[in-house]
Formats: sequence, structure tokens, C-alpha cells
Amino acid sequence: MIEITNLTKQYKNGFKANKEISLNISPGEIFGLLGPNGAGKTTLVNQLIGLLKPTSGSIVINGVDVVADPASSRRLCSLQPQSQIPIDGLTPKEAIELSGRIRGMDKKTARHRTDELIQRLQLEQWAQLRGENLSGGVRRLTAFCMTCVAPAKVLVLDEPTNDVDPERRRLLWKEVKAIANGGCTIILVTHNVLEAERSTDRLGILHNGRLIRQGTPGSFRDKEEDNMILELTLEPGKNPAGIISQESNALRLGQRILCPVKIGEVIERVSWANDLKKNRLIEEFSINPPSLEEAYLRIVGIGGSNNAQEN
Amino acid sequence: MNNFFRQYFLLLKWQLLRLRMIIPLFAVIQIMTGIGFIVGLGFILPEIDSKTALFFVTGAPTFILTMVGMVLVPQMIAEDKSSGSFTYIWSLPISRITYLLADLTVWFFSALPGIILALSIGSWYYEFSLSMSWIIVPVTLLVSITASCLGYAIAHLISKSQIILLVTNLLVFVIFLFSPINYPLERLPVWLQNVHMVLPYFHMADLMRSSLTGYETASNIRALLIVSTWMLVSFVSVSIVLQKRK
Repeated sequence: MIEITNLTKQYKNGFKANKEISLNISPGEIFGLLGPNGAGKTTLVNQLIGLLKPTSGSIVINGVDVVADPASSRRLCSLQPQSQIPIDGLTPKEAIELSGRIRGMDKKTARHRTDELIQRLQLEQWAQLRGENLSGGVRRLTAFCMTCVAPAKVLVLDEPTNDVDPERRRLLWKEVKAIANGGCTIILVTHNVLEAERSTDRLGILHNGRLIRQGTPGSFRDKEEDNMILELTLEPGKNPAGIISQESNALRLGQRILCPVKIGEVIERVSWANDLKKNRLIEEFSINPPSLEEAYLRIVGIGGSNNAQEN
Repeated sequence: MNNFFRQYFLLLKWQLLRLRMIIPLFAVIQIMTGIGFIVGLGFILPEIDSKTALFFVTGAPTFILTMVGMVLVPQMIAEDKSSGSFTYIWSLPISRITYLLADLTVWFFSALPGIILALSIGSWYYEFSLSMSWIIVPVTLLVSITASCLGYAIAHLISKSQIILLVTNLLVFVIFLFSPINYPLERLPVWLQNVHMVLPYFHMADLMRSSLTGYETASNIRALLIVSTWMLVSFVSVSIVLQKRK
């Protein structure tokens, strides 16, 4: 059980990276932390793991005040950092096994668990190659195995699937779920809204250092009043101003425009989109139920009719 | 205590495996430096006498240890800082002092081939014999730990990696030309001699030379005290910096 209460972190230069964050996460729960760059996600997990000292507030993990005792935090939590773990010179097998031993496992158990992880993530063909010869994705998967080789109360995974191929992403999430089923709390830090939606039990959105929303992925979608989303993809080089001016609540994401549509207006709006397509203003369109991505972008204020920002 | 040794040997293994690609290259550079250092002297001073050669050659271990500790160590740490690798290392349930000790061990042993080679080639080439005593072991350890701890201090007190690289490049110049490691202190201006009475370089070289030649000098005790003070201050400072949460 993780209990974070009124956590604030202000750096020496005066910048407040976390502001009054309160959050409880249960054992066995997969909790996703979403937020744009600079939202304070890494600052939050670095305090959890005892790398940073909070300015105020408390963090209690399994009844232990880890602000007062950061060494306990490192025994209870295991971190996969966003940056690559330095494994030049080591093979994945050596790196995973040694990480397990440093985390207190005996040689036999560490070796057994290493072989099991390599097999489950289908890393056998790279297991004996040195780190400098591995692709970014294999290094990232090795880092994941190094993080979860030994049992921990909390696993913190910061962008664990960057550079990883789709098939092994699926295997990684399967392993994460198996670990969570064993009672380990998982904190997933990510920018990938789709993965967060599929893989987490609950989500928190950090923005400008504050935890502005938390709940199940479904609860984010339910809070949106509109029933459907009409997605228009612009023809390359076409100016979207004409379309967006008619849509007060449209969200612009590069070449994509997301327009909320009431369920009763769907036929009328599809016909309108079809006309746009005939006039070659848009390349294609689709109508979908509201997604977490759309809800997330509205919450953190990315996009918007006057804002042509790409996520 | 058992846990300390367990952690120490596992971290030593971790560091050795990480550096196993670099260590052979490092050994080659050390061998070339050792040979170049001694043979190159013959080009700088063609009429070199045996006494001067002895002085120069017995300065080589201190030169190599300070180069490794105060130039190579901070440069490797700067690289680790840029790659973010300390985030992972410091998130492990390990004592940071144990990590420091394991790293100091790696750097101590990395410098040994160059030292042994420089002394062997130097004494053969310039035809003199060294008179080593057991004291060489603790003195080499003391100089190595002091130089590497100072290197650690440079790397952890300066936040930007590029500045660490610039400072260490400057140090090469300072150690090679303006530190009385390979030439007598008296050749420097008086003010610089006074500076070197406080800095560790001259005293490191003095201790090392005495333990290699068997000639004890009156200044040895003082040198031992000064170098030990530098070692203690740098080790304690680095330990505090490493354990401090930001």
C-alpha cells in the first residue's frame, strides 16, 4: 500500500515540480501516471524511490515512512528509469542475474528467474550478446527484466515499452499483469495513452505539478458529455481554418481534427464530413466512441481550435 | 559485515563486467604511456644521467595514479551522469559507500599494469635498480584512493558534464607541467613551491619515491600526514555528497 499525502517538491531554483499531491495505491494495483513533459511525473517517482527529498508532505509504503528512511524505500521499490540502464559490457543474462543478486537473491534463484524472464519475453537470441551490440528495444526489455527479477513490493516502470516491438510489448504487459497478480503494486509512468488505457487499473493525470484527475480509464471517458467523436484527417497542405471555425469544440492534432458529436447529430455530421471529402478538404474521416486519448488531451489542454499543437 | 562483503564483491563484479570492454584498451594505453613516458624522456633530455633518470622514473607511478584518479575517473563519471545511469545505480538497495569502495578498487587495479611496466622498462633502460619495501603497497593504495576520491569530488561537485571534461583537460596540463612529480620541487618559483606544500601532488610523489628507492627522507612523515588528510577529507566529502538526497 502506497500512501502519498500533500507531497510538494520545490527545487533550489524555486521551481515547484510537485504541488500538494495526495494519492493512495493498493497492493496488486497497476496505476498509470500520465502527463505532458515537465508535468512532474519523474519528480514524483524519484521521491517515492528515495532519490529526491520532498519539500513537504509524506510518503508511506507498507507502513514505512520512506521520507524519513529512504534506504527502506530502495528495498521495497524497484525502478526502471526512463533513461537506458548502462549495460555495455554485460550480456542481458549477466545483467539480469547480477541485478537479482544485488537485490538479495541467492545465485540459484537469480539464475532460475533470469532464465524464466528471458524465455517469457522471448529474448533468448540476445541473451548472450553484450549490451553495446543490442538494439534500443532489447536493452529496454533487459532493463525491465533487471527491474522485476527480484520480488519487490512496488515496481516503478518509467516508459518501459519505448523502442520495444509490438509483440514483445504484449509479452511485457502480460508479465506486468502476472507480477501485479502476485500482490506487487505497479506504477507505470507513460506518455502512451493507448497503452495506459489497456494496461492500467487506475490512472492519474499530472499537469503542472498537480494531480488534476484520477480514476479508472473508463471513468475518464464517461465524464465527457458528447457521445461520439468525428475524426477528420486533413488533405496535406489544406488549411483547416474553415473547418475548425464551424466547430467550437474541435481539437486539432497535427493533420487530425477531433470533433465531438451528439448521438442524434451523427447522420447529419457524417454527411457534412462526406461533403468535405468530396471537396478534397479532408483525406478521410471516421466516427468513433470517445477515447481516453481525446479526454486526456482535453484535460491537459493540448490541441484546441486556436492551438495547432502536435502531441 | 557479511552483507557488506557480499555487496562489495557483487558491485565489483558489476563494474568489472561493465568495463571489460574498456579495460583491455586501457591496459594497451597504459603500456604505451609507460613506454612512451620513459623512452620519450631520452628525447627531451638526451644527456640524462642515472640520478635524474631515477628521479623521473620513480615519479611515473604517481603520475599514472593521478592521471587515472583525477582525469579518467571524473571523465567516466561525467559519461555516466550524462547517460542517467546513476538514477538506476542509486535506486538499488546498496550502500553508496560500498559502491564507491568497489569503484576505487577497480581504478586501483586498472593503474597497476602501467606502473609496473613503467618501472620495469625505466630501470632496465636507464640501468638502475629499485629497492622496494613492503611499504610500497600501502603507499600505492593511499595515493590511488586519494587521487580517485579527488576525481570523484570533481565529478560530483561540478554538475555539468562538459565542464568536468574541461576541468580534467586542464588538470592534465597542471599535473604534467606544473606539479613537481617528475622533477625536483626546487625548480619551481618559491610561491608555487609553497602552493605545493599544501597540495597533494608533491607529497604523493615524495612518498612513492621513498618507498621505491628505500631512501627515507625527513619529509616522509609530513607527506604521509598531508596525503592522508587529503584522502580523508575527499573520501568523507564524496561520501556525504553521494548519500545526500537533492
